[in-house]
Amino acid sequence: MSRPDRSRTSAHQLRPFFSSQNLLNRADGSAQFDFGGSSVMCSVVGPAEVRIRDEKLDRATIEVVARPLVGIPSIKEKAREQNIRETLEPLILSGLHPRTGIQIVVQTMKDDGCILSTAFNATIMALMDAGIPLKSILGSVTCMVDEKTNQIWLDPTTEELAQAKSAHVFVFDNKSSITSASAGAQGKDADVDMDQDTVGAAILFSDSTGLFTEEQYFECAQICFKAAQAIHGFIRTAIAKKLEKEYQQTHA
Amino acid sequence: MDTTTATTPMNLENSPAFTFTASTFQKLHPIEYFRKFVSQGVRPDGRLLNGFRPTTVHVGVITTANGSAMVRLGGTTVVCGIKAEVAEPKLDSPDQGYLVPNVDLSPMCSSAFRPGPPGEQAQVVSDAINRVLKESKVLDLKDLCIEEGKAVWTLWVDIVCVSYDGNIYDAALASVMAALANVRIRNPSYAGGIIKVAGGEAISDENSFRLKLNRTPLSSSFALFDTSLTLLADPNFAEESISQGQISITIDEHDELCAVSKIGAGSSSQALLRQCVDRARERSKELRAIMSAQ
Amino acid sequence: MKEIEPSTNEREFVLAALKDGARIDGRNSYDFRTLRLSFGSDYGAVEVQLGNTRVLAKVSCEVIRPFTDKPTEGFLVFNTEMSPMASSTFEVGRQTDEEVLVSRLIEKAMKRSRALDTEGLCIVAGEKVWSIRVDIHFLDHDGNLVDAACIAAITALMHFRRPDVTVVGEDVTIHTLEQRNPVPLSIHHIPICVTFAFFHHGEHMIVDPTYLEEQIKQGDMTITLNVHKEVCALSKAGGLPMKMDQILQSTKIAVVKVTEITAQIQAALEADAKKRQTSRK
Repeated sequence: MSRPDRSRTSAHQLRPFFSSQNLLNRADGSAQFDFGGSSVMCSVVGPAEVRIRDEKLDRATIEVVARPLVGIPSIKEKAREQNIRETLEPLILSGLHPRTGIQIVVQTMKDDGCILSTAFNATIMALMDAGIPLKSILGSVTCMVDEKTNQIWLDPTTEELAQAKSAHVFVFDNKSSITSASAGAQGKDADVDMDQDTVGAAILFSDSTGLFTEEQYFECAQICFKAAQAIHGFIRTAIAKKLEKEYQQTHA
Repeated sequence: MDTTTATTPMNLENSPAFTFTASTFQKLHPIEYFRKFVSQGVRPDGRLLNGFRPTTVHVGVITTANGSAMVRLGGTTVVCGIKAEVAEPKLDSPDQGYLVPNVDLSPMCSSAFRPGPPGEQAQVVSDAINRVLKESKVLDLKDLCIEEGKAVWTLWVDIVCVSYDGNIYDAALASVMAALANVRIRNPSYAGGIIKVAGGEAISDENSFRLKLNRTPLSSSFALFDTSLTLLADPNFAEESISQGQISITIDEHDELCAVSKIGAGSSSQALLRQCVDRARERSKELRAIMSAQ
Repeated sequence: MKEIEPSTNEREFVLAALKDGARIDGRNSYDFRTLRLSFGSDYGAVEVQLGNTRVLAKVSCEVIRPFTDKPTEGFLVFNTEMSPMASSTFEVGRQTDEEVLVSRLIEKAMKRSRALDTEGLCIVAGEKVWSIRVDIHFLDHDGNLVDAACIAAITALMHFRRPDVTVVGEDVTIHTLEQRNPVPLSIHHIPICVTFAFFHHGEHMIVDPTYLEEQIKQGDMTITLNVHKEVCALSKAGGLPMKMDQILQSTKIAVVKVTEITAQIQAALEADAKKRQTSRK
């Protein structure tokens, strides 16, 4: 049970993660999220003026710009932009700010694997920092299946990803995990044959590539779901702390 | 917004002046119109919710290309042409060739696309195909080596959409796989730094080679409609534009998954995803049968 | 999004303060803002904060084939594309005049001053050379992007280590960072940019303008110098006409600033090297 990343003892262990908010002064909100050696900075501007061409009459237009650490943006970044935008669009209460634009810029700062997950987590924290109304928060975790051992490794490094048979990115929101878990507990869900854990892991976003079986996929989803709970908790604590600090500053 | 305005004429159904024809209703309230069909378990084009559109595959449609295929998926038509060119390998991978897929969504196939550099959708589909080909190891790039460090084959995989009516990813991936299986490249000879590819005589098994494909991944996509996340298999353009999100399952002939993606809409239960995987399994078998009938 | 011009009140306040020799952030005319340098875990990545201006520089390398007419020369490539993260006035895929100017200035200061020995990047003449790439990411724009970017770029180049190579005849082996200690690039000198802004028809001059000061300024000039008092580049693109004496005076001020900044860069690099050594033990 050993993995190339020697700083971790378990296959299902996340790298130490942390974040900081409100780093940039020109943006309305910003956050940096780190998963070990990977780091993404995200800035949010909005709701602000939007180009007439992009204006939507009943809601805010959400624009995502992803930028690589090295080189000029390629189709990889385009795909990342689409992934982040389409996942966040249903989460942002954009109907509250019609005919405006919300611009999200995602900049990779350090790359040691799992950039998409890191970017998701940075984005949600930056959106909260900017005070954009949200339906729920999300947490993202990546895992991979090792080519040789078929073990599932959580939050892999670049070195580990090089020997992956498949890689899986998952995003879970905190809202549906609560509701479907309670629905499962009451046995209300249509699929009563599923155990409670499986029902709990409603998937907000999933992106998997490589070669894998259906069982492996759902096992990965389950492991990532459990890990995402730690991210949700972390985000909650970070926001609570930040608000507490702000309250103290304004009411001192 | 749609529901409130749509109910107004219903309340006044005695007054003929407020009655819509079906096509007007569709234009004014596309979502509500669609909802009425879905509640009956059918779709406006007559398909059941999990039905795919009629699919045809033709290979070797472009005689000047090394490999080609045309796939029709209902109103969506894509042509994939593969051209092999000799190129210099990268210094850090001297024995590997190149496989470069590129999807072109020009204004010719739909007014939804603008002329100029490739739009987001074209780039995203190109990236998705590129990732499936590479991550699922469809082709060993070492097979494309002519002389290590000196010359390799570059396969330019150009996918042109001729007519766009939704679900470009499924159609494009099927056309790429059919075209790759159709590729024939003349045997090159390497001597003293010069690569010769004989031309002239008709291409035959003696003077050419085919690609060794490890697997044939095929995808099945589903649109997620409404907050109930109703699954619509193989969405057409109208369905795509009113859907909340999409699920794509890519599966190979050994029943191994090559890619799973779920994007947009709210959280979906794993049961829904399992349902998609099951349907994708059936569908890819059907599609494989269509492709091998060629 | 459009740039918002400072209000008349703001403008007049800044100008009036400058007349009294004061700046709104409390600095003296010839003071730089606090400079902070932080290094990442990998080589060649540095984040520079100059007051509220924040720039990230990342150096990377790859082996490529040289141009046939310069078979022994390696490459030094800069990427200074600005993202809307720094300021929403920067649009994706459309460069403003300001962006072009800033990019050109950075390239001039870093590349043309031949700070990096590109001949030393040759592995096998005519076959393989190193291409060193510097990606500069502007994260937060509070004025004086040029100076911050140059400090970031040169510090990152000095911090960077490329993989070691051994050449036996035609065969080239590139050793991974684990196999052999990576080697630093050979840097000839450390060019540092100092940007001045002029107000009141050249009567008042300040260094390291903030975003607000840049919006109000009448003219500017950037001097690139090294610690040996050699001028590497001097750029004054239009704006206010200036007297010869003033240029000489500003060069003298720049010399002092360059000495300070160079010392700070070297101290930061040394501190980081020490930290790396202790963590390895």
